[in-house]
Amino acid sequence: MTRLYRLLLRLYPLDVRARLGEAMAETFDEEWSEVRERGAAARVLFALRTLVRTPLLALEEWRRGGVGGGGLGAWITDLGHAVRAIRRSPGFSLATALTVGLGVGATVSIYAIADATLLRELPVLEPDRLVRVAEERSRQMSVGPEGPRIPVERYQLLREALTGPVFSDFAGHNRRTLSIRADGPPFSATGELTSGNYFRVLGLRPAAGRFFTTDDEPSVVLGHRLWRSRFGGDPGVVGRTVSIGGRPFTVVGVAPADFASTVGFVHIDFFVPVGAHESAGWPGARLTLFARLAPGQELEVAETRTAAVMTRFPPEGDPSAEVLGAELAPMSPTPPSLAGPLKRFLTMLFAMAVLVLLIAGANVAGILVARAARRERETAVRLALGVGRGRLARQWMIEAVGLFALGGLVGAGIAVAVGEGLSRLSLPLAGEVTVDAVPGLGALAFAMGVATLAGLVFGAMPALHAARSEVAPGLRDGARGTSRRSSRVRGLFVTAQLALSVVLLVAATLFVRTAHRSMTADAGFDPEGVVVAQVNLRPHGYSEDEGRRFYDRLVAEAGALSEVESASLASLALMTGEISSYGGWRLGPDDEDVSIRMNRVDGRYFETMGIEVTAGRGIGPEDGEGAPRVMVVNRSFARRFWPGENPVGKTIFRHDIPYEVVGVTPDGRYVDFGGSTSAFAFLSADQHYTERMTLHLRTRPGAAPTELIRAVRERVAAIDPDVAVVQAIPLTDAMATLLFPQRFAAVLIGVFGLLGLFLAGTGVYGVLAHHVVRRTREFGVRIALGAEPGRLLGMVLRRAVVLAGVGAAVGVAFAAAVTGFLASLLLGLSPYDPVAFVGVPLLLGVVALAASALPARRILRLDPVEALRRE
Amino acid sequence: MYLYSEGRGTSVTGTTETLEERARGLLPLRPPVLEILLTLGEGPLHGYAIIQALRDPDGADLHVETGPLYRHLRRLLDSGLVSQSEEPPPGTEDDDRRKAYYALTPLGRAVVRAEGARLAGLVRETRRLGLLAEGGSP
Repeated sequence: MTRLYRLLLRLYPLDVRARLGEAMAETFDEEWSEVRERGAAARVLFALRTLVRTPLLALEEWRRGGVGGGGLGAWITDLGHAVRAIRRSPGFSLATALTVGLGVGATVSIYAIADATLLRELPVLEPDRLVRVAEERSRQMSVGPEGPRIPVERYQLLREALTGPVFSDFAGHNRRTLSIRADGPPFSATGELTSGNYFRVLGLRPAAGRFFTTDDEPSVVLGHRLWRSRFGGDPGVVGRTVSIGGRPFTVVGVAPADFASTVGFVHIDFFVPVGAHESAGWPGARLTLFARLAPGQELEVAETRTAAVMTRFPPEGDPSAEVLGAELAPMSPTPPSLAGPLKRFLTMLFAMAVLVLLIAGANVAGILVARAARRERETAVRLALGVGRGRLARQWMIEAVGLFALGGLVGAGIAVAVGEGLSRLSLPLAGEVTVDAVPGLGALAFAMGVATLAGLVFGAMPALHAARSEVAPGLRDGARGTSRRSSRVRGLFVTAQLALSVVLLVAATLFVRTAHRSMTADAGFDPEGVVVAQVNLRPHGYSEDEGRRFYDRLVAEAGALSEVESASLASLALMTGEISSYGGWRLGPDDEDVSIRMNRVDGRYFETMGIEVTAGRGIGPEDGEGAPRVMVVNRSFARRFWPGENPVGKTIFRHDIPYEVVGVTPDGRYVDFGGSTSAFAFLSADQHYTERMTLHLRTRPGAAPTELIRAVRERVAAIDPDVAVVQAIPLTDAMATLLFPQRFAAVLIGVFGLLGLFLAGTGVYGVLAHHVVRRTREFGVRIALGAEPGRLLGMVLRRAVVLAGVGAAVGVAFAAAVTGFLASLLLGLSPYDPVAFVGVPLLLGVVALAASALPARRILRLDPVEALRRE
Repeated sequence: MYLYSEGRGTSVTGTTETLEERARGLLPLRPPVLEILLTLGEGPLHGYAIIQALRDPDGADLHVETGPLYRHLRRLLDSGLVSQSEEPPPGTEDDDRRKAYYALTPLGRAVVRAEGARLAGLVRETRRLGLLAEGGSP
């Protein structure tokens, strides 16, 4: 805001700026810091007031300068004229500025999100010299959020071979969630295991202390945000020891403030050398790679040379995973796997926001045309006095652009408010995701550019309209002449608004229906009232026996809580985006290995989750460590391996160990909302120990999830004070997070659409009201001659029906042409969903009828004598 | 004539006029102008201090914001009622220094005095007509 104010001050004349500029900026800063204390509403109001008022005050200073004569002088006079016209009708000006502001605000907000996630460069040294490096393999062994991962040893080999000629430096990293403990209770934090040269490759400077230099020193660099939130931003934290996953690490430094991570919107809380992580006794990590190109090295050449080195080293483990080559890509703040979908999503939202802007523009243009018609007499007088038509058109243009520019300022204010709101919102997606979408100067300049452009486009019509006025009829009577034409032009604008609103509302309805359908569809289990809490013992060095004892105790204690009806353990929570697939399954010795999605569960899992076992039995307490291996499969699984047969009692092998199918469940949605259901199997957790388990708790009716989550955290801490619960959340919330894009789109586009429809409704009202007023005398004559008011009413309503009908038809056609692009986000709902395509035009009809109610009433109450006496 | 009519202030700066005559020529003052001049009556202030001094007694809301305040100040500077200085008034701590301080000029003091006298006359007249009780309330 303070930067923005300095920019606005440049609007003042130079002499005023030289004398008072600095003092004004300083006073403003102090004022702003006080306003900020008073809450969001006061902040927004103050910002809006400042944005609108400052240019007007500056203009006043220019006018005092008394520039006269032709050229610039005429422009300034015209500007003054426009400002007077704008100020003369503050209600109208405010309404138009708000209308345009909503459109601009929507556009800029989306632009700012795109800027923060896709367009902005990483805040590192020469980001254009950084590349993500990936091995192309016949089969990827492990893929992380930022690309394929390879073992540390392999990375070190490659680093040795590639540093120097190809890369000036070559780093690896991997994200991992671990529990940290400083003074208080442990908390779960997102960490980055890095090669020792990580920060050097990025070219960053520490905000405090130093960065580490080797792959294995037992030290930690804190993320700037964690440093501020948990350590009060105290530089004295350097040298202290914190416990990470139960092991001591010395804090050596703090990452710089503007660096969140190598992904623009993911905040990393701490950085640990990958070797220190290993020597603490944790299993080997895999790393995603990135590098800084050697000076003068070109991307294509580097890629070829990297490929040559990579293929020389045989891959680890499975020899079938042959290394085929290398892939080098510029390091953008969004990893390639996310960039595509995100780009599509934001492009879609941006297109919707532009529609809102078009609706707002059409609305204001319609009003300006009407105003031009009302001001016909003024125009005629000025023409008669010898003002040129060009000058007249220019004055109208300036007034229109001025109104739109005001709207641009309002829009900038709205975008700032939206951005501040968004940046405070953090999403529990993979790690902590925060979008810092407060528009920068670039986005604000974009806002003004968009608004001015819209002003030029939508101001042209009224300006031409005014300039074509006739002198004589304009002076003779104030209301005829061009009115008929202006009413037609307005009708056109209103139809356009209606059509665009239909597109927005259809899209919004599709998203609302998608979200609703997904949440209410039968998932094959009952998520309502289930709380899931994930615990990871891997970094804490538990042996298998210790781990089993830990989890036995946890599930027993959690099950004894008064809020809990049933407690169970499983290796993953369904429908949270988590997937685990196991390869190596085959029916007979000659079959090919296949990979199947599965979950490892304990004896109370089916009961806790409300999963029905339709044949045979579920996993039970008898399926312990030493017992024969068993599995429960879903119908798709049964269909795939034993089509048409009863699967219960059949056997399937994994690495030559037989598994007996003991039960069948219906097909459910277990992984995500999209696509079809696939083969899924449940194994016994007792027979397949893992350090990472998710506690599932079915609550008794009326129990508060937050209370329960706190109780679970306390239990975990009581068993081992170093272990933190990674994530504890009601299962329905976790599922809703998966639907975040759809819900976000539904709310945003829905608000856009309703606004658009409301504006279009006022447009319909305006056209009809104008129509009735213009023909009052004619209607009076007709009624006096015995015409039925009902027939006249029909004439007016017909106009409303034509407007709405044409608008709806065009809108539906347009919508049908574009909703196909949304299909990938609709999770199986048809993009031509009849509810949306029939419901929205009906809604439009209702709005059009409501808008014609007042003009209609006017006709029914028309007194012919009064009507004839007018004029 | 209101102080706001440009040019009037300079037209009365003839050499033969006394300070009092020039001051009377600038009356009456618009209420916010008088308020700003009164806040400077106790001594020089910086911009934000004026804003704070102009606040409603209950301090609920800002009375004048930066932009409008400086519009007034620019006019007061132009018509010579207020002067601007980078020197802080005595007693200001070094870490509390601001870019600019504003103070009443002798003409400014004369204008405040004259306006005060004019208003006092109006109050007396109101009392004489029995429209205002001695204590102040109507």
